[in-house]
Amino acid sequence: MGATSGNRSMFRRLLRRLLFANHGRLFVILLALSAGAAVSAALLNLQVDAKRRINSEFRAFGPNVLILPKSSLASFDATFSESTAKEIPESYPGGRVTVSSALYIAGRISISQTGKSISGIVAGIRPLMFLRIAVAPSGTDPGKPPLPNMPQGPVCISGQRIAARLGVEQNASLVITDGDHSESCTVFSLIHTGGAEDDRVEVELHQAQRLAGLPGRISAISLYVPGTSQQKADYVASLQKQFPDIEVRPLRQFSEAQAKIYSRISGLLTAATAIILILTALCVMAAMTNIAAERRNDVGMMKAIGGSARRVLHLFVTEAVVLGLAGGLIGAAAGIALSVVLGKAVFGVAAAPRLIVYPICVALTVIVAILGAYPLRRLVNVRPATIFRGEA
Amino acid sequence: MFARLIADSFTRRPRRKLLTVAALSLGMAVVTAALSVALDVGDRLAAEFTSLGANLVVTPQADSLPLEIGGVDYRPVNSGAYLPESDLPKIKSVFWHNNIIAFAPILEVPVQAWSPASKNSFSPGVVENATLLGTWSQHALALSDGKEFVTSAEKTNSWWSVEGRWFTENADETLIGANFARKFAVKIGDSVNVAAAAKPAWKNLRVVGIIATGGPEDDAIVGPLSIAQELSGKPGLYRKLYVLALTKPEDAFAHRDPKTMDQKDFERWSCSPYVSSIAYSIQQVLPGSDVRVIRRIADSEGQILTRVRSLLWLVTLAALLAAALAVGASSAASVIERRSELALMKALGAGSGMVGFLLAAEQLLLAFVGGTLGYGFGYVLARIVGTKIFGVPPLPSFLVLGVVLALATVVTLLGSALPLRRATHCEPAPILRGE
Amino acid sequence: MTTQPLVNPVASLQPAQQTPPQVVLENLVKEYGTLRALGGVSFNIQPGEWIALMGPSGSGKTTLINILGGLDTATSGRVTVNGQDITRLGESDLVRYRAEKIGFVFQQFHLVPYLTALENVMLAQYFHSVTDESQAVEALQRVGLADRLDHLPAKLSGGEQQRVAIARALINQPKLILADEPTGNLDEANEEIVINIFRELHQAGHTILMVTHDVDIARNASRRIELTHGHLTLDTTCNFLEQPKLCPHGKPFPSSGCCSTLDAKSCNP
Repeated sequence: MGATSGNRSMFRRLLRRLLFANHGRLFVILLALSAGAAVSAALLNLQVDAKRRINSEFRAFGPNVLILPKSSLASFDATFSESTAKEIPESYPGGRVTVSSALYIAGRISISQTGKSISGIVAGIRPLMFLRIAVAPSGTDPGKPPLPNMPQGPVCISGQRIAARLGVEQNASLVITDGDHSESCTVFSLIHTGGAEDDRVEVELHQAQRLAGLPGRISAISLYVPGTSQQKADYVASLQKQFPDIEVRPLRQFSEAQAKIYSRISGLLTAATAIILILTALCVMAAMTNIAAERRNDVGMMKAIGGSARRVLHLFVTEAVVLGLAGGLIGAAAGIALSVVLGKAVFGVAAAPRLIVYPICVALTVIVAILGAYPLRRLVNVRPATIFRGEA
Repeated sequence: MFARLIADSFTRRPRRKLLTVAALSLGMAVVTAALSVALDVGDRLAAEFTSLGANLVVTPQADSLPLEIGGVDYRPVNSGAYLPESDLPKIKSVFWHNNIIAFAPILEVPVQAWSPASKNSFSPGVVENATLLGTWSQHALALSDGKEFVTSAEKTNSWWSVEGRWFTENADETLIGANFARKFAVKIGDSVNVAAAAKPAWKNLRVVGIIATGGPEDDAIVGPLSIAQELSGKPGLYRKLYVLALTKPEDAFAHRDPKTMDQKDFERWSCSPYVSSIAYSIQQVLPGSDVRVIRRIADSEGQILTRVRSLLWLVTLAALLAAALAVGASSAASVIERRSELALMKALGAGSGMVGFLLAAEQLLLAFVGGTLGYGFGYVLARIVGTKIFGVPPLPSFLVLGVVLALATVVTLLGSALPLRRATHCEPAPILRGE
Repeated sequence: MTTQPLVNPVASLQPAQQTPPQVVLENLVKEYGTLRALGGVSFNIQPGEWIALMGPSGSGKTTLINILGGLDTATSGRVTVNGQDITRLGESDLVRYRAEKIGFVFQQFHLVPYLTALENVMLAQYFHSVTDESQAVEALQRVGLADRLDHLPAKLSGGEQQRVAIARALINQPKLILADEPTGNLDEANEEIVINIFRELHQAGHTILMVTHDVDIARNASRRIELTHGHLTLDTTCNFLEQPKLCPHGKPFPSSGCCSTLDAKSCNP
C-alpha cells in the first residue's frame, strides 16, 4: 500500500490535516489523553514507590536476626571478636542488610552535676542510633526535641526509665565507671521504646570496650535482613555456615509476621494498580470515542469516493496512535512529576520517580487509544449510504 | 405521553445507550470496588498486625532496673517487685475493653530439672539448671460482671509456635523449649521433674508440646503460671504482663502528654483508641504498674497503616474522578449524536424546557440502571479482592451504594448538561438541514 | 393513480440501436424492512446520455442513484454497468467500482472540511491509485478554481465547493457521473455555473445521471425519467428516434415534441 513516495507523502499530508484541523479540539483531546496518562502514571509511580517504601518501613520494626556467642545464656560476659561484624555480607539479593554490633556491660552510671549514681547496663553500640524510633517520651516536656546539634565529645543515649530513676535530662553529663575504667559522655537524647532500651544507657562501642577493658570484643550483633522468607532463611543458613562458632538466631516474631503482612499489603497495592490501569483505559477510551463519533461522516464520505476499508482505517488508526503517543508521552511525564509532589504531601517524603512506570503508561495509552478507535473499524465495513442516512 | 416518549427514545439507537450504560457500569464498578476496599482496609490490616504480638507491656513500678540482654533477664532471683494477678480482670473494665484482644502475665523462676526419659548428658540424679517461664494458656478469667474472658499467651506471643499442643492449666502439663528438647533428648509424652529454691520437692510435669520461638524460650521450660508461682513461692503474683490491643494510628495529637491537656482535649484523647491512651487507662486500673507502649511495634504499625490507607484513598479519589470524566464524556457524546433528533422536536414545537426535561429524565434512568449494575459488579469485584488478600470479604455497605448512585446521577447529568444546553438553544433549521 | 408494471422499453426499441447500453437495470428492487423503496425498476442508459431522474419525495430516486453508485446494495434485481454486474459485488469490490467507474456529486458536497480544495481532489486520486498533483491542479483549473487551490471548504462559497466536488468526481476519469441534486444547496448564480459545467461534460460525451426536482434543470438533460412510489412512471428520450412515450396509466403519449415539456396533463385519459 502506498508504495510510491507520492502516496506516502499524501498519507502524511492527510494525517497532518487530520490532526491539526481544529486546534481547539486537538488541545482538548490531548488534554484528556494526557490527563488519563498522568493520573495513571502518578498513581502507578506511587504504588511502585510505596511497595519499596513499605518494605523499608519494616526496617523500623527493628532487627530480625541476632548473632550471639554459642550458649551465651551461661552468662552475659561471653563475647566474641568485633571483626566478625565486618565479615558479614551487607548486600545480598534480598536487599541491603543493616548491621549493628553491641557490647553489654554492667557499670556504675553517675551524673557529674549531681553526683547521683546507679548501677545499670551500659550498651556500646555501633552505629549509635541504629534502628531507633526516637519518640518524645511521655512525662517529659513534649516541646523538647532531641538536641538540634551534636554536642562536642562523646555522646550517649539514655533509656527513659533509667533516666527517670537517675534524674537524667538532655544535655546532662554522665560518668560511667566499671572497675578502674571510667568514661564520660553527654546525653544527646532520651528514648522510650517499651523494650530493653528503656532501662540502659547507650554509648559508642569503642567507649564501652575501653570501659570494660575488652578492646575488639562484642556481645552480640543485630541484623536487619530484608527480603522474602526464603531469601532470609537462605541468608541465615549461609551466615551460620560462615561463622560456625557463633549462633545465628532469626527472631521469628518479626520475620514471619512481617512476611505475611507484607504479602497482604502487596496484594492490596497490586489490586490498586489494576484499578488504576482500568481507570486509564476508561479515560482514554472516553476521549477516543468522542473522536470516533466525529470521524463517522469522514469514513462514509471517503468510502463513497472509493476509499478502501483498509486505507481509510489505516489513516484513522494512525491518528489514534499519534494522539495516544503524544498524550501518553506528555501525560506520563507530568504524572511522574506529580507523584513526586503527591508523595511529599501524603507520605512526607517525596516519591522517587520509578522509570519503569513511564513506558508502561505510554504503551497503555497508545493501546487503549487504538482500541478506542474500534467503532471506526466496524464502520468501515458498513455501506456509505447507511452512514449518510445516520443509521450506522 | 411523557412516559411513552421516554420509552420510545429508549428503544431507538440501542447501541449508543448500551455503550453509555457500559461506561457507567464500568466506572461505577471501579468506584465501588475501590471504596469498599478502602473503607475496609483499616480494620483488616489492623487485624493482621495483631500477628506481631503484644503492643503493650506492663511491669511493676517499684521494680528494680532489669538487666536484660537478648530477652534474658540477669537479675538476681529475689530482687524486684511483683504485681497481683487478682487485679487483672480490671483490664477488661476500661473504656476500650473491646479493643483489648488478649493479655498474658509472665513469671520466670530459675529451676533445676531432670527427666527420667533423658538418655543424654544427664542421668537420674544429675540435675540441670534451667528457667521455667510461667504464663497463661486458654485461661478463663472471671470478670466483674460475671462473664468470662478467655485469653492466652498464644495471642500475645503469636510467633511462638508449638509442636504438639499447649498445656492445659491445672493439669501438671508443660511445654519445653526446642533447644532444651534437643539438648536433653526429651520428647512429647515424657515427663520432666522440676524443683526450685522455694520448693525443693520435685514436681512432676508431663511434656505435651515443644515450643520454638527463636528467643530465650527455646532453652526454657514454659508452663502454667500457677506452677511458676508455686515454685517461686510467690502465689498470685506476676512480674510482666503483655497486652495486645487494637489501636488507631497515632498522630501529633495522640503524642501529647495527657497531663498537659485540658478537660475537652483529654476526653477526646481518651475516647480515641490510640495506643498511648489505652496504655494510660490500663495504668489507671492496675495500681503500682508501669504500662509502656512497645514502640517498635506500635509505631511501625501505625506508620504502615497510615501510608497504605492514604494510598488507597488516593486511588479511590482518582477512581471517582476518572469515572466521572469517562461517564461525562460518554453522556456528552450521546447527546451530541442526537442533535438532529432534538432539533426536530424543537421544530415540532416542543419548548427547550420540555426537550431538556425529556433528555434529563432519560439520562437519569440510564444513570440509575448503570449505577446499580456498576455497584453489583463492583461489589463482586470487591469481594474477590477482599477474599484473595485478606481471606475475608468486605461487608456490603449502603453508604457505598448511595455514593455510587449519587455520583452516577450527578456525573451523567453534568456531562450531558452542556451539550444539551447547546442543542436545545440552537435553531432547529440549520441542524435539520445537516449543517 | 395506479401504475402498471412497465414493459421493458428495451424490448420496444427499434432494432436499429447501434451502441450497446452502458447501464442496464433489470427489475431493481430495494426494501428497507417492510418499506419498498424501489418496486422493480428497469431501464437502460446509453453512453453519452444526460438523464434527469425526477419524482416526488420518497419516490426512490436517491435510493436508485445510490445503488447505481455502489453506495447501497439492491434487495433483488440486476444492475449491469459497463458489462459488470454490480449487484453481485462484495463491499471491497464495490469500493474499487466506486473509485474507478463512478464519479459522484452529492447535494451536501461531502468535502473533507480539513483538506484544501486541491487535497480534496487528490484524495480521490489517493484512493484510486496514485496521487498526481499537477493533474489535480488541472482538474480544478477546468472548473475555474485555479486561484482557490489552497482554500479550505469553509473559505469557499457553496458553488465553489460543488465545483471542487465535481473536479474530484472527474479526476479518475469515471465512466459514469452520478449527481444527487447537485444544485440543491446553491443559490441561482452558482446553480448556473454548476449546470454550465455539466453541460460542458455532456457535450464532451460523459454519461450523466442527475437527480433533480427542478424542471428547468431537467430541461438541459437529454432524457427524463420519473419515479413514483418506487416505480418507473415516466421515461422520455431526446433522440431523433421516436421513442415511445408512456403515461402514468400506461398508454402512449401523442407524439408531440421531444423530451422536457411533458407533463401528466398532456396524457390522454
